[in-house]
Amino acid sequence: MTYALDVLMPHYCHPLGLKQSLDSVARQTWRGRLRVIVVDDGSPEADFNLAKEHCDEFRRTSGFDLLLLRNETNLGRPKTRNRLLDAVEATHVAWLDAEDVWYPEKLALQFEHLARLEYQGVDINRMWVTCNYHWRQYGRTTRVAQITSGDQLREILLGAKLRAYLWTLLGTAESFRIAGRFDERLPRLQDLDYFISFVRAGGRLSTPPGAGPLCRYYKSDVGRAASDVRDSYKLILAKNRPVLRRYPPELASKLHFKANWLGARFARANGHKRVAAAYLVQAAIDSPREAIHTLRWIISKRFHGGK
Amino acid sequence: MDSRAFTSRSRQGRRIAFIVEKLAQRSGGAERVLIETANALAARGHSVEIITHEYRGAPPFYPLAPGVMLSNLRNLHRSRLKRRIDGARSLLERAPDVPGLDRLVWFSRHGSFWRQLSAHLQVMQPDVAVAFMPPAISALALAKIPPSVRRVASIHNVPEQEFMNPERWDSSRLDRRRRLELLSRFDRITVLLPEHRDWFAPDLRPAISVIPNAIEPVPPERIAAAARENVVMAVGRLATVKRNELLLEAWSRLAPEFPDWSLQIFGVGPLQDQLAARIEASELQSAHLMGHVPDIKDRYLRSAILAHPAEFEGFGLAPAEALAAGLPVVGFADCSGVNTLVQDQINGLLVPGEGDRVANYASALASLMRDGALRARLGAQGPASMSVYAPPIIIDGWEQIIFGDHAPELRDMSRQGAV
Repeated sequence: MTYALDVLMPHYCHPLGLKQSLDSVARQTWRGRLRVIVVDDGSPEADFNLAKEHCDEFRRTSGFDLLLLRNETNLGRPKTRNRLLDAVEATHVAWLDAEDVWYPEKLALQFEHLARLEYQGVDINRMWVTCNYHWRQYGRTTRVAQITSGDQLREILLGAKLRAYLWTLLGTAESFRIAGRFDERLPRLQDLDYFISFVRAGGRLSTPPGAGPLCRYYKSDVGRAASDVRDSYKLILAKNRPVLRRYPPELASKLHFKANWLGARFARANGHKRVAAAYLVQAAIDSPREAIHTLRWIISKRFHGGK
Repeated sequence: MDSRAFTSRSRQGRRIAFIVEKLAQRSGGAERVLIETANALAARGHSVEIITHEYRGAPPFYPLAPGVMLSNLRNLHRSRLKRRIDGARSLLERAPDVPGLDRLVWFSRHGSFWRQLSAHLQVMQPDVAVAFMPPAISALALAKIPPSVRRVASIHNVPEQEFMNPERWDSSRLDRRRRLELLSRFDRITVLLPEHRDWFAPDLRPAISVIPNAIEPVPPERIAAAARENVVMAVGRLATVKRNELLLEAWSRLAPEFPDWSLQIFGVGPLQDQLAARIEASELQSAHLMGHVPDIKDRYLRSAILAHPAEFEGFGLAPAEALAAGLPVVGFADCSGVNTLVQDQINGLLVPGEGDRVANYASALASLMRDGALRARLGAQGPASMSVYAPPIIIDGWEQIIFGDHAPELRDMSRQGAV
């Protein structure tokens, strides 16, 4: 059977999150030939058995197929994602991380947008359709818009108007070939690296016009090593140094500041205040201009509500 | 549960870095081969990056396929201080070629490329790095990169020209010596023709593989439907090595006898003004400089003969493409890179280099222009003679060279399938 869509889901030690995500796939209004591929990244037996039960239930109740694969040991997210890529057989691909949720219209609106692009003569094998989404963190939900106009590479690097999240995407299997494979040296931020590779290698992103948020992201900084985040970010910047040089030097300075700033944020979230302070000092040394700018913004926010 | 075997990295999805010093708006044959090879390998699922080191920020002349990334290691933003240093360096680089000073000059000219290449490859850690042409070959040889990265040097011209001619690349004696010495640092070396391998020292030969250029076949129905006009075409850079002057001289002798024929010379280059003046001075109204055209492959189907009187070629792309399009080719018997492709009286004519070259060449062209049946017979043999260079065969060869455990024996590849 030829599938129209493979939904790629890495899983590790979070069976309830997996169930939540699978339920959101089952509720999709798009009812094409869909298959979910789950790769369990060597979860302990109890978690794996529970995940397997949820997969079985999904097969029984959703009307969709599901392929469950398992790494014998914990290989990490990038290798697991590469294994998911190797398993693709469908003409289209979408991603979903265990716990995150698609709203019922997500696939329908994205497929419709892809068809519209094709009708307009766009080469859809160079396109990823992303979407607006809800961001859930610290008990608050924020609506985030993916703005795809302008210089997409710059916007992905800055991560303000256009953010690199795989679970927002739908594209042809061929379009995912453009981005290559996940860099197995990156314990974190593989999405960012993958998006940058896609755009640098000739890909473009597009958002369905007029659509509201189509998925919900559960964000947590807890339990993620700050050094992994910072080092991954630094490696991504080093890999893309030639292309960063196309921009004014302020951009590189801002991004190097951000690498340390992110490390400090994750360290603080995990209760490592001294590590956080050390990263902030490093940020100020690496990018004094950006440090002063950020300090001004914090003071302004504190005393004038950010206006 | 599916228990299919999991391999962490299949043969697909390998990371390949192609390195060339300059690519921006360069329309040469080697640049085209590089981009076509990169595009084809990306289409096979590999992650391909092309690394350059140049001040021009313009895009490549030939289009990159989706999946190919381009990284220019040069910093295009030059601060005032760097501009001043550049000025001092350009003065230094004009210094006489004397021992001692030559090392400083060499470092000023090439140091940035190999240092930046080292840093970039250490970060990227490709599975294989392939350098095209001597400046990139030297930079890759000197780059400090992990031993796991396979180094491949790809030579795209006659080796003697690439490594001994002081007018090509860096003219210093030091650079010429280093270019050759540094080849020993490569795991694989590719050359275009079997005879090119024989030029190298015996200790290098085990690492050398022959990998010709890929030639896209033309569908037989397009060749059959071709409406050919009385046009002799020439394609290539307008440079001394292509001997366009000789062609114009021969044409000036032929034009009175063949008033319904025209000569169209495609390409641009340093001799453009000189050739234009030559045409004007001789009042050769049937000879035309055509510049670059986007539809050169269609022009092969509208012409009757390809004239290619070049002095030497690494691998003549224009003759090969003309033969694939059913066009007979007239070249010199002593022109390497053409005499491998053209077989005299089978798919074209090879003109003897002895005696009066112009007279010999004009005579060969005239014999073909007079004889439609001969043109048809020779043209019919062209496509089959080029089938051995079909892209899938050549790209298979590239994959063998860059990923295989042993350098493949492609020694006779360019002669297989010959008619």
